[in-house]
Amino acid sequence: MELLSPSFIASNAADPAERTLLLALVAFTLTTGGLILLAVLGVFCLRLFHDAERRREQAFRERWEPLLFEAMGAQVAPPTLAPAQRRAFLELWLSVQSHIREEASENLNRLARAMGLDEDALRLARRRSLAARMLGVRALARLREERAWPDLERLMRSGVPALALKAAQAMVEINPARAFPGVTAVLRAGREWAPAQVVQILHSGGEHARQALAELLAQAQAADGRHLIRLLSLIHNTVMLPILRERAARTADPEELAEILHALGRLGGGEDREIVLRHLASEHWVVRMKAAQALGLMGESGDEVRLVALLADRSWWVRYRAAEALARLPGMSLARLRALRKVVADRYGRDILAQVIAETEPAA
Amino acid sequence: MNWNIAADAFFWCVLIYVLAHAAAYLALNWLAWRAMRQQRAWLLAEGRAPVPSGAEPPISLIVPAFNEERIIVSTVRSAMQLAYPEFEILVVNDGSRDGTLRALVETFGLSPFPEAFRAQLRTEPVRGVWWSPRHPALRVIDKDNGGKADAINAGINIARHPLVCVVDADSILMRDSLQRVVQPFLHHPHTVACGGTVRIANGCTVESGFLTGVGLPRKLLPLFQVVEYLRAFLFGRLGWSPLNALLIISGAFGVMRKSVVVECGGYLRDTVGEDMELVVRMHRLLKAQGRHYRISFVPDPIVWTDAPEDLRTLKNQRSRWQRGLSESLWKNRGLLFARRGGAAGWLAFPFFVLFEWLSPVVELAGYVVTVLLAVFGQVNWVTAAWFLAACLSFGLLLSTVALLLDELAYRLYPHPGQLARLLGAVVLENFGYRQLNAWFRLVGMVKWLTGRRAAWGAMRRSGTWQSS
Repeated sequence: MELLSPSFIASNAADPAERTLLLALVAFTLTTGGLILLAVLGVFCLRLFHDAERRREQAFRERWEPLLFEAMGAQVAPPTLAPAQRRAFLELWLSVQSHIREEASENLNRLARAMGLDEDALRLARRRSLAARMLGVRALARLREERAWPDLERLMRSGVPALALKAAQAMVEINPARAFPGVTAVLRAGREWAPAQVVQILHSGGEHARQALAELLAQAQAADGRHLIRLLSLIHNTVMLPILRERAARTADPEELAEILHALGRLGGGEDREIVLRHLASEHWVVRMKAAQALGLMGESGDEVRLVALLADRSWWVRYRAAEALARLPGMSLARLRALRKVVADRYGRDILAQVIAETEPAA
Repeated sequence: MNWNIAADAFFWCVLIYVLAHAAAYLALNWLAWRAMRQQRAWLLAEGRAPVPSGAEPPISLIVPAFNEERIIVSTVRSAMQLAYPEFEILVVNDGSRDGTLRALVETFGLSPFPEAFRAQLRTEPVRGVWWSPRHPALRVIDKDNGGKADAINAGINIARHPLVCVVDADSILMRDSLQRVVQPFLHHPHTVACGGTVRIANGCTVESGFLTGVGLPRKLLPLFQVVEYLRAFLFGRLGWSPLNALLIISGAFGVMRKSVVVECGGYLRDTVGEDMELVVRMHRLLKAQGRHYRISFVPDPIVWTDAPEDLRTLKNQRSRWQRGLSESLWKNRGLLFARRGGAAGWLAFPFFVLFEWLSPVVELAGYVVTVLLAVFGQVNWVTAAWFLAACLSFGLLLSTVALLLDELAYRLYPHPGQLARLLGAVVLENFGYRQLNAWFRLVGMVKWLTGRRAAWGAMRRSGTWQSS
């Protein structure tokens, strides 16, 4: 400690400037030293805490998981838990729920209500902590708890995308008819939501999801429309086809038109062929590409001439999709493709056809 | 000359520099912590890692390979097992002088394939493309040697998907690496590039090309690098992501939007830091155009790589990195304080110049000048000792905070013995390793300043992770 004393510093500093410097160095080193000790202590405390927590979790799981499995098939007496254990039990209950079918889920829901876990879930959804709210929302969804509606609506409009999406999903699972008007508005704004979760919401919404999507699509501007049409393709929603056909006729946005053609190719039928053919000569390469790709899925043998013409397109992607579509036409054979390659005048067209022929040939 | 005044001024300059450096790094750590919490919110929502939904864009995985006969087949086999809805694997044999191409052709039954590709980026001549219908997602591009950047550009020319992921041949991926790294592209449609955390594979267990057990290296040199990666690559980079100011995505693993890479001119062939140079160039060009874009970083460990275990290889690596840093910053100096530079031009770029590029000079000068001044009696030994203590404690602080954040977020090394070894490394790295590193980086800087040709050099692979 003598090393830190003012007299020591004064005696080892030649002048006031050096004394100030030495003091600054000492102060800096001691401060960082203190922070280092705190950080090291933090590391050890965290490690001890997490190890203890892991052991507690393991013991808790071994104690209560058998009861939950038993409760899936038969009525069991609700266990009495200490207040500190209730959240862990709710997490375990959710974990078991995620792996089982509907009938067994109902039995577990009955157990949860008998234990008052529905009230716990409501309380958690109202807490400030994100982890607590997420847990509460997931549990409320499983419990189909309509009392949570105001809280879920509030969370759906929160600024945390993951939480908003989870709350929307919970509302759809609880009452899709009631949920979708509100969810629709949020879906329109939530272009940065993970498509995987949005698809999940739409899948679980059934007919209400289709109606909501139809409404959104009918009113959507081009940028939103592209996003929605992409989602549409993911949920294979053929009910939307009339709207897609109508939008194809009036949209001026090539990207949206490309998405529509892609969706028509996947979902549409023979009646959409005319729409696709109309756009094979579009001035936008992305539209021509999607039209060629769609024709590969719904084309007729008579479309060979149209697709051969596209082999000379200036865009590589249009040429490639046209060549792929050619290979998929009804009645097309490898021999015919090879013969076509010989007569295609464009060098790039011959090259791309050679590639597709090589891809189509069966393995040796 | 009044040496006392000069000595004091020198010490004050270095102290202010160290203070500023510490403050900036701690701010980055805080930003990184916040970013990690937000990204983990999605995990909380699902209770598990992200699962494929079908909405993920297809990816072209590009693996540049030069003289990788020993490992290339296992690399491709493990890549084929990645859990991702749609992707292709493009191995670019960059004029290898060993049996890299032969190993691939024989193992996967490849035949010459008439690939009709469009050479949007200029590269050395492509001799041919190899493919087999038995492995339709795999293609091997055989070309004349042109270097790593040239090989990646050739892969980009032939890539068919909108996203390209460049992976080193010796990178060890996780099965869900692609699934994790693609998330920013799903959440933010304007994302143009995304990097992931690179961890040290030395001491880990690998089976069938995938990491199955996390361990620490036995030797001190790679152990120091474990700590270093935590400090610099994890929290250093993650902190820049929320500001959209990430200037580097590791060449070991990174995903980019192909159209943007082509638009920016692809990877530069005349630099050894091609990975950083491209990212900085993307910032510069996209900001100049006023485009809305994001360059992100995924904090979860998604790729593991071999760290040098001998000093010669480490020297080559660190010298090359410093040279690459110098080239990237110099070639894109237009981004520095650019009017529309945003956080990339006004925060990250100056940070990299001051605290990454200049730091080996300041650090080594600090030690050398201090000792010289004390030896020649221009400053007393007490001041010199406290000065050195200040420098050491600064290094210790950054490493222990990185360890604390890792403990909060990942606990990748669960055994108490591993933690003790890491803490030991945190202390010991400040007594020799950091200084040696600074010296190697200074060598790289001098080579760049004197215009000496750079080369990748040969990496002596340890393969200390057990593989089967």
